[in-house]
Amino acid sequence: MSARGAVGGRGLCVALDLRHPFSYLALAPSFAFAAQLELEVDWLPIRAQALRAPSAPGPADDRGIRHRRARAEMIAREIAVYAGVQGLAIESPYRDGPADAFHFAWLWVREREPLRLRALLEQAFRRYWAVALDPESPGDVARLLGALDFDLSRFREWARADGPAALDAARSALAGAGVDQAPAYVLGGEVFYGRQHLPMLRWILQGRSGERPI
Amino acid sequence: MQTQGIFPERFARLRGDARLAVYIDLKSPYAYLAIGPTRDLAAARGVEIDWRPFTLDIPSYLGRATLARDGKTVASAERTPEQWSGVRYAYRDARRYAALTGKILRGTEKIWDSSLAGIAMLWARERGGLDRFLDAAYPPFWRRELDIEDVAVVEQTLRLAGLATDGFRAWAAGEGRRLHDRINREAFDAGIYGVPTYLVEDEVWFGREHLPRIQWILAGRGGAAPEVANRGFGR
Repeated sequence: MSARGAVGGRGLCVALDLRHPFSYLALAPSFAFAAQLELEVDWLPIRAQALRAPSAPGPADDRGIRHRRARAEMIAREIAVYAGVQGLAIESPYRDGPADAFHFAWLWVREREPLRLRALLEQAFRRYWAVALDPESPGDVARLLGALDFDLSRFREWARADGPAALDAARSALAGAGVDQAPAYVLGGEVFYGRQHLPMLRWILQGRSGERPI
Repeated sequence: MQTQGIFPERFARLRGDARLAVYIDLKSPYAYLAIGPTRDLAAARGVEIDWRPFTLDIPSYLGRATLARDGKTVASAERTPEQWSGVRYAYRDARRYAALTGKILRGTEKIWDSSLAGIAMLWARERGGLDRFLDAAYPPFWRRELDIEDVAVVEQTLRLAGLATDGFRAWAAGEGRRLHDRINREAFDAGIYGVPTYLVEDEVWFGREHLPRIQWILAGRGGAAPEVANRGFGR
């Protein structure tokens, strides 16, 4: 499946950012949602706006700075509470940086062995949030794929030959749909940010019937 | 799970005696969307809602923008692309949910000073007519039929809600303004920055997607804690 077709098509596309805690919190509910509705979902990687740490208070803070600090603190509490609800460990939530090496692995598995993509993502998110995976390290990504018994030589060959183009296609497809945050759900060209929209997506996918979202 | 240490004590102090306190602002489409399901939840649990005004200072965190007379083109703006993207998404998102309950959300022409409406909320609350005032104010404001900076229009809205307005102007300029400003200052100092914001037990939550958790708390925290979801409560 091409990335452009998935994002712009009639099916559901889910874009996740390994480095954003909200994507980790959305991972299990999104897979459960897809399984319940027996949906074929296209999962794409994205590097979204990074989570911002609350700033330290200062004597010259204006209202805007205080607003952003209060918001960052509220988000930190939300992550802590809902990570607890799901039984997830989230260490060092404000790490940032590229993740291309892991995105190559993601797109390779998506293209070659899509039925095993869930296992890869679950393992990758768990390792990253335990600070046991650097998604920009080819060595870490190789160890991740090896632990799941993927063929490393085929992956490396694909990553060299086709990886950059596949990554560009995924990025441009999401950018073309206006997606710049994660988790993002794209359905019929409409973008929804956040797992709180799963009831709305369910309602739409079930023919706009059943319990209405609010 | 334990939430001790996650929520500073100041939020429980700010809540005071209310079982459920909710901060709203007339100029927030998300507050508008939250009123119905929040009422449904409170009614199902037999809880009285302590609605409180929180007048958003939007330019301080989202920049400024004014629409031209046609209501479509931007006449002036001081916003970053990131801020524009966030604002446009928020309106699209609010509209698709509003449409489900027949609410009309027209794009706002400017960033309103909604403090007078917040003061009117307090006036209505003291007279036992706050719910009627919210129902009289939100729909026409979002159809762009209310100039909420015009005290005569706000008085008319209070009267439509069945509330007397004798003395409102003087109260709004004096005691009511001071009360509104104190409520807003105390909330902002505690760490409230947006609406709808919910205070329940020792917890604080921003956004109606947390209503399942609020319901779970009000019901005594029995069973597994729920996930976030834009889902309703019996309507």
